[in-house]
Amino acid sequence: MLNRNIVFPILIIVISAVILSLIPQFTVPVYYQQDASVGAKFFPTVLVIAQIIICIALLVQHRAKKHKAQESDGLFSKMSFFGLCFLVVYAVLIGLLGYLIASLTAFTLYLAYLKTKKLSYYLFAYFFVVAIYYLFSHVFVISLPEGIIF
Amino acid sequence: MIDHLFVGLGAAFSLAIFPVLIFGVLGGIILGALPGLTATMGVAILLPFTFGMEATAAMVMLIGVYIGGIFGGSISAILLKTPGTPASAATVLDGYSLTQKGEAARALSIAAVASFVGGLISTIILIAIAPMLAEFALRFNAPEYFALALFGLTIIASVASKSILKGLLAGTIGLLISTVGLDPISSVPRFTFGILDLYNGINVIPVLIGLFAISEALTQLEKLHAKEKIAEKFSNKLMSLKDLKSILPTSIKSALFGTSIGAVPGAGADISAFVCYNEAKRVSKNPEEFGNGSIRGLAAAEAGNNGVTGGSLVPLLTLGVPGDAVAAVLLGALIVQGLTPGPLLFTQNPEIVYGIFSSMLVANIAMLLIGLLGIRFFCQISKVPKLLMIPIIIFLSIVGAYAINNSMFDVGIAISFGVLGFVLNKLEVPTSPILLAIILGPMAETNLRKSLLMFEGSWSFLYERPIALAFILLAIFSLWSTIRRHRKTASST
Amino acid sequence: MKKIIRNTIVLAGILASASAFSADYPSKNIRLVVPFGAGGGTDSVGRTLANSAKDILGTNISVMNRTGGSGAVGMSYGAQQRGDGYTLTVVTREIASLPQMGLMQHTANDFKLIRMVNLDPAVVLVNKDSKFNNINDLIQEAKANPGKVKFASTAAPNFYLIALQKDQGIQLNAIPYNGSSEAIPSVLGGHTAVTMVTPGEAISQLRSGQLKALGVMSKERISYIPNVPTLIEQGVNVTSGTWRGIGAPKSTPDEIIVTLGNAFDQAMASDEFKTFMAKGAMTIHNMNAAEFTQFVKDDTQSLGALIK
Repeated sequence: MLNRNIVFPILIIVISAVILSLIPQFTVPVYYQQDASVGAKFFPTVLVIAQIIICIALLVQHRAKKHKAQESDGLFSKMSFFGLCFLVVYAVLIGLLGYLIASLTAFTLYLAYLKTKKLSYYLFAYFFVVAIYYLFSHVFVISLPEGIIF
Repeated sequence: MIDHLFVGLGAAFSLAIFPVLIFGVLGGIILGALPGLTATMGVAILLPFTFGMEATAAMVMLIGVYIGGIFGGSISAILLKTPGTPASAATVLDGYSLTQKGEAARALSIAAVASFVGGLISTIILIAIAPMLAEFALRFNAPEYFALALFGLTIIASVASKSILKGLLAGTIGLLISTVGLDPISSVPRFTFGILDLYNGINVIPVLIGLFAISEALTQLEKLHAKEKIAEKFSNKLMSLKDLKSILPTSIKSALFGTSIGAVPGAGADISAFVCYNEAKRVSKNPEEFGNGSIRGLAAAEAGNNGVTGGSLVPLLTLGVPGDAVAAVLLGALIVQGLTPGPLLFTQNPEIVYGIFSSMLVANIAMLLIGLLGIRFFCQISKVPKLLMIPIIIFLSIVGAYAINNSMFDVGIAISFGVLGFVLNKLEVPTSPILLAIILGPMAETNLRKSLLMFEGSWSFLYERPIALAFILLAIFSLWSTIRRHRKTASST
Repeated sequence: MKKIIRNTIVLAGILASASAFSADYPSKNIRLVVPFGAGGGTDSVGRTLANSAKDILGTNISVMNRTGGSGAVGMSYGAQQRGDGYTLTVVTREIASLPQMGLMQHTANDFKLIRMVNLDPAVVLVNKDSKFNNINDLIQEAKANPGKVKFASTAAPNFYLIALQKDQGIQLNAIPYNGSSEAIPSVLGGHTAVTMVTPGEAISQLRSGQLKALGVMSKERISYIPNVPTLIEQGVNVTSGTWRGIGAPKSTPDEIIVTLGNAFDQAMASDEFKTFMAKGAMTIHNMNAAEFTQFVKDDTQSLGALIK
């Protein structure tokens, strides 16, 4: 039976093994500073091994407890997947268009996707984006991302 | 000393200073409430504007921002599960649970009162025994920091409410993430894959934004779709007198802890909040309430993080050494004014010292008043429909992640940790240990290795230095009591 | 204050007419990349200079902190920006050291250097109760007990210390702290014996007498601490220190570099900036573009000798 309580620890163990294989490849910089008896590789190695042990313990515990059949709501629903795509698209848009235009576009897309018809929502959203833009760039004088195109 | 204080208090209420102070506190609260904007940034941005100001007014404004900023982070932590600064990460644990129960107003009022108690007691201690605290702080060095970090890491087990194993797993994930970057002792690049942005390690603020704010936005989005009409509960009720009685001892204790932690250079409000939370949970008769809306837990975290404010000025004013990043800017501000922080300041410029002291007292009162009067206004935020609130949280998160270092790379980090946090929530792996581990991991590792260098490979510092030994015993004790508590709850269910 | 504003407006007017030929630069806000965090020494120098220069240039200069890799992230970022004069970078001594250590790809050659701003020597500091009273005491002890004298290092590796070690053939036990704000308390608390920082970083401890200066690593004495002899005076021929300056991406047109250079000359001569630097015990060292470029080249070479 494949459920998340088995897949997840195994996934972490695999990742840990990959990390463990990376540790010996740390390159020493040109100018080598004196180091303590516990060196740069010590902590990561200990941590990865501890992580593997914890995951094995989680697997054992799961087996021992014999969980009651879980109500299996999927890890990602349609909405959370939309949220993830939205985040990525928004980040890419910022890179292209800069903060202000990207935010206005993204907000419109979001509200349209959720089939909102209330005009007040759109107006509130635009007001909010512009207000934050003003607050950052003119009051705090913190530069917000500029895009490649604008 | 008392007359100096009265003169200072008179000045704090004078027309030249009082508006500046209110401006500072209010500005600090707003900055702190926005994720990614920290008290440090606020103070640094304002620094050049203080050059033309009179010395006391300049310090008052900056200190107002500092005190307001630490409190402001908690407002968004309580209402939106989006801690404005790392110092408020422990506030989320119980503050947001209260909001979910419809008790946002109660939570905010408790936060304001506890922060006030924390700030006030801390200021009084600063005024009364700053030089003694400074002596204590100077005894801290690599071995003590290592032991303190070790003690802090034992909190991971305690924060993990359901499964210790899953909490520990979150801890190792966080600790491993904290090893990314140039190793601080020997400059060996670890897990950097040649990416320059990773050389300094992964910044804790985008991680904070991702783990808490973005993952929460994704979770809310899912609920939105489910169209479950959970009646949104909301009560305007503030805290009761009974609440006050219940949180006061915890708050006072946390204020004392916070002041001591703040006095030690290099340990700040984030660590203090978690340590105080842990301590409150340890002594509590019903620890199972913690994480499910315990008002004591909330008060401990809040008094703990604001308790740092007075403490962090101890090394600054008595030794001329900044205890944290905010104090470093304050040091710069003092020096620009032609003042010499350190033992000389007390004898040469008592009016400045007592001006600072009294304005801290007033700033804490201002924070309490703004915090309490603002509750109605803050609560409007939680009445904004979820449909609109979700993208707003996302926008603030992205802007905040960008602003901390002007870097799209950090935006990527925030998004990645948002997804990680979302998945871990589903798997019932607690996320706050990851944050705690990222804060404490480098402190533990660097100071262990520094100690070994100092003592030429010998581990004797672990038992030869009394403060270090005390923290190590505390760490063992903390672990032991957590395990005992878990055994108890396991056998009772 | 009003006077300063009026003066700068007049200056701005003169400047605008003088540099009218270089198109209409600047026509929008300028960004100044600071490769270290908000609130640190590099940040406050950058912010104050930006504040003084903005009226002269007649445009806002917003400071952009881009931290990481001991300055490598910010300086690499600055080097890669469009050479239109709207992104400038505070360059620090790390641009000379990091590339040679393999920790940064970009070098000083990726910048057109505009002006050096400050040049500060390191001061050798011990606790006021220390048995060391001059640099030779320290060297004697280090020779007698190699690798035993605990040194609170503000960075890893610490080039101030390496310069002294190489010259004297000694070895100290260097413990890397995170900057002067950690190294100084370590010496104050007696956990380490000695540290080296710039005068500005330790000015309050020097004034109050909590720390004792064994010597300053410059050619001549420093005005802020006139009683502290140089190492050279004590027969130890070592100098070391740190510097900061302003650079623009390689592709920036020369006219813009000239405009900016003139603006920064005036900014560095402004009362506001001079007072700020004097109060912070930092030494303004204005070098023009050519001198600064040569200086960085020489410093890169001398650091190279220490690294190898």
